[in-house]
Amino acid sequence: MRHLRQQQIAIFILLTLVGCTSRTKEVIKEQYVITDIICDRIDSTDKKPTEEELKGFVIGTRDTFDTLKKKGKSISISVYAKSVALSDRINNKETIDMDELQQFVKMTRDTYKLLLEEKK
Amino acid sequence: MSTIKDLDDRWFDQMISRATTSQETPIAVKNKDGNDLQVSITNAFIEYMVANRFMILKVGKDTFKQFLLLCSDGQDLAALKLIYSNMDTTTLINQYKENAVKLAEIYKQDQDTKAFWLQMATTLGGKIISLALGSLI
Repeated sequence: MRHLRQQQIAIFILLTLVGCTSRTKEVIKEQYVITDIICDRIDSTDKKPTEEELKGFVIGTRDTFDTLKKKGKSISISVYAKSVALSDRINNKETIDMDELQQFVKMTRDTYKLLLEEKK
Repeated sequence: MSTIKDLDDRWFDQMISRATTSQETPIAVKNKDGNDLQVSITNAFIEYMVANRFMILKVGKDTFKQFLLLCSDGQDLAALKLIYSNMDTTTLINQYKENAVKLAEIYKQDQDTKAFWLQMATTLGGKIISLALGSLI
């Protein structure tokens, strides 16, 4: 009877942890898809994102990466450092080159893609 | 087994109406004649739809129907792309930022759960040790 109770507790803990992992994966998928669409728009002629929109993207990326790092996900140090540096510059109201922002979006897409492939 | 492709528009209307209001319980799946139908759609997926009711309102029924078809076919990335492609860039970026907040909340819940179980294990461990010591003495 006690053994059965221990098994039930173990299964519950496992399901809770699996649930958290699965929800994280769903959010990473959404972030990847949104980043992919923004990359497509950067390459388009008529739907290019504005500087303000790209700055918003940088802030969102830094917040996402912060949490993923805490969760122990493998994010390249250079990409993470770039997100920190860019968001700090945005918060300090410094001017940032559009090319730099656009390049960052593409780096971010590659990072999410690697994170999704890593789980397969 | 029937699939989501066998469902008619009325079912989608009902599902979308349910998902876009506060009624969070899954609805029974019916076929065109109103009989119960076993479809390859999981409760988890219905919960996902309910959780994303605002998204359904934004994209409209036809796009959402296509979204369900892609999901039921295992093409979840293509399904998400279909939904998000219809949004303007500002809305997309806002969604992206909301997702970052959602991720932080998931992480916090994860940590709270771990802390709860650690505390439980410590309490139980302490009780077992004191019981063992008690029986020795």
